[in-house]
Amino acid sequence: MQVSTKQVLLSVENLKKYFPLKIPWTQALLKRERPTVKAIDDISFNIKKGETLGLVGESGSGKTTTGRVIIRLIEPTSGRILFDKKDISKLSKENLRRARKDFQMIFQDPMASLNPYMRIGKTVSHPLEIHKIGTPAERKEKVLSLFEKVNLIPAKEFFNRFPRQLSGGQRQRVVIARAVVTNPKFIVADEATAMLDVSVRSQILKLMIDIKEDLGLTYLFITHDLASAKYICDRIAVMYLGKIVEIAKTSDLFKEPLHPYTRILMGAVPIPDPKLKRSKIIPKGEIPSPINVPSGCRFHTRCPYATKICSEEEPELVEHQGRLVACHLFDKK
Amino acid sequence: MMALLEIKNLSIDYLTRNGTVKAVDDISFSVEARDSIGLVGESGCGKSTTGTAILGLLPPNARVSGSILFKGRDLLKISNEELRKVRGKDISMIFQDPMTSLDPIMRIRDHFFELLRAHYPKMDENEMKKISSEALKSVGIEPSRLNNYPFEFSGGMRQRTMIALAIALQPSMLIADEPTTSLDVVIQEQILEVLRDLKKTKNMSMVLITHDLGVVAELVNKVVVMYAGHLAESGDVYSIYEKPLHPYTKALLESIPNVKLEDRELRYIPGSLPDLKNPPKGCRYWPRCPYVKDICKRETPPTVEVDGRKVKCWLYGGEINAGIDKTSSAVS
Repeated sequence: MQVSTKQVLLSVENLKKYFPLKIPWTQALLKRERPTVKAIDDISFNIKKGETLGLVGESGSGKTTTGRVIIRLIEPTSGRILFDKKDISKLSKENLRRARKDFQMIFQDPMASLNPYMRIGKTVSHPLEIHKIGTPAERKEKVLSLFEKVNLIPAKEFFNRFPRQLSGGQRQRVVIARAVVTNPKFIVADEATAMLDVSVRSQILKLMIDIKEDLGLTYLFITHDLASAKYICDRIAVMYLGKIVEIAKTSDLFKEPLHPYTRILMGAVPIPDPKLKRSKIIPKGEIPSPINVPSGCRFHTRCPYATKICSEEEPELVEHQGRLVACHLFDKK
Repeated sequence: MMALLEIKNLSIDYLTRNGTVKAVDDISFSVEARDSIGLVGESGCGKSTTGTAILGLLPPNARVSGSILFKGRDLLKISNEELRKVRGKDISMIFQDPMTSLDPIMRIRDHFFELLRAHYPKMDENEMKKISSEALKSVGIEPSRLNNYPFEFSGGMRQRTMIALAIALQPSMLIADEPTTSLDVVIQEQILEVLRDLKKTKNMSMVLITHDLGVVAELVNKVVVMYAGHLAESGDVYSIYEKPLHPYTKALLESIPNVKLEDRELRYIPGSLPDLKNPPKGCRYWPRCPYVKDICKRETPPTVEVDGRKVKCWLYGGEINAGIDKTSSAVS
């Protein structure tokens, strides 16, 4: 990846996360090798300052784990995470907590990510208290102005409400306000719009775009909805079974998806036009188990173009027409 | 020809401690044999309430008026006993959440057997096995999985199982309440393929309840758009997508992120659904409508027919015909 390192905000190098499985103690005594779930298997990518990188893939492809490992909600097995040229994968707990001021997360489920017993004003000012920013009056001032920014108006009234008094869309606005209250540089948005209705989904996407421009944020936008990704992302990385199979500019990716998996994902998105009858490739079966990853290319079990080499050799992520793709179809070695 | 299902002036109120929620207000539509219709709208607009009312599965605090005629019989007037015979055999339903709609401590087989015994108490086990295997096969699951428990299935497979259960007795109508909402795109596509296939091979009528207009475009031939309990617009899918009449339909269509369109401008409907305990006077959409006029705030618009479609909006018909040309061109 040849990007001038000057503008790179986050760079992930050879990141791996294996979850060990529980095995019966009889086998543990025999010192058998523990089977692992390879949630992330050696991925590398960069995010530039002010950019939005989309991370798309099916459920079980490792998108969420990636998002969480990057901000170290989960410890990586190996690899480096460079945030602003500092390796945060080695930070101590205390230093990590301080550093978290700069990278925050927006969670998927607005019903579950707010404390039901905490008034939302308190919820949003909590990060400020933790990082000891400002006096109580200043904090309240900050939260109120933020509420106005995320369109929770009248802000004073919302300040004292409980999450149960809000609709799904309003809750997601609160979650966004909480994520940006410490003036972070980087935000991981994990399926931020998946649980919302169509019309509300567009409202929240618009809000995220506006806030990003306002505050100069950088996003990692995790989603399985390619249509939403199209509107907000500058570049998109497609993940399959713990590997990145393609990274490209959004416009390039939508114009011509290269990897067969990307094509399938693209074809599966329902298009709101009844006249359009597309020829579709529907993949057989479901995503294989990440415990026994298929040999060679991970996708060959479901790929319509699979040849002999696919089951034997794992394709590398190589450059093809200025984009990166991991598929033997494009590997001109 | 008589319609397979005809809903006439259906109104449903929920009595709650803080007042009456007018969830569905005077809606009428019909489903012909082999028709598939999509019931669309935002959450809370009354789509699921309408769907569940057809099978008489509403909670006890619901008050229903109007009529739901299925093959000429009013489902609101028949006894519970008779309604039970209709469920599963004539009309079945697929629910939204495949994770919670199967009993976790029952084998898949027993789900089928329970259903079959309820309708045919004397059926022998071999026969029941045959029917359940057939049903599972038609949704693409190996009949050998009959002995599994639901937890051994993935989300997509559970939803297929739900469909298999729903079609096991070959009902003439299937109501699918958000069948793909909790699934991701690829699995969603597989489920849609199953539904498409069923429509073709089993000649089933379908009522698809969803907020995803993309899914609707793929599967149905008629669309009923609901807003806050009112029927905003109904008509065939091509004309609605091509030229939406009601401002709400138009806004809803514009707000879907579309992978095919070139432009990346994101549109959305400002505001949110009104409180149905005291809905706005007149047209329920007026607080969010860009074409709002004085009359919209005073009186509920009548349902009028325009180009073979029904639409409930003051922009079309009523006494203010004068402005129609100007405004309708503004809408389109």
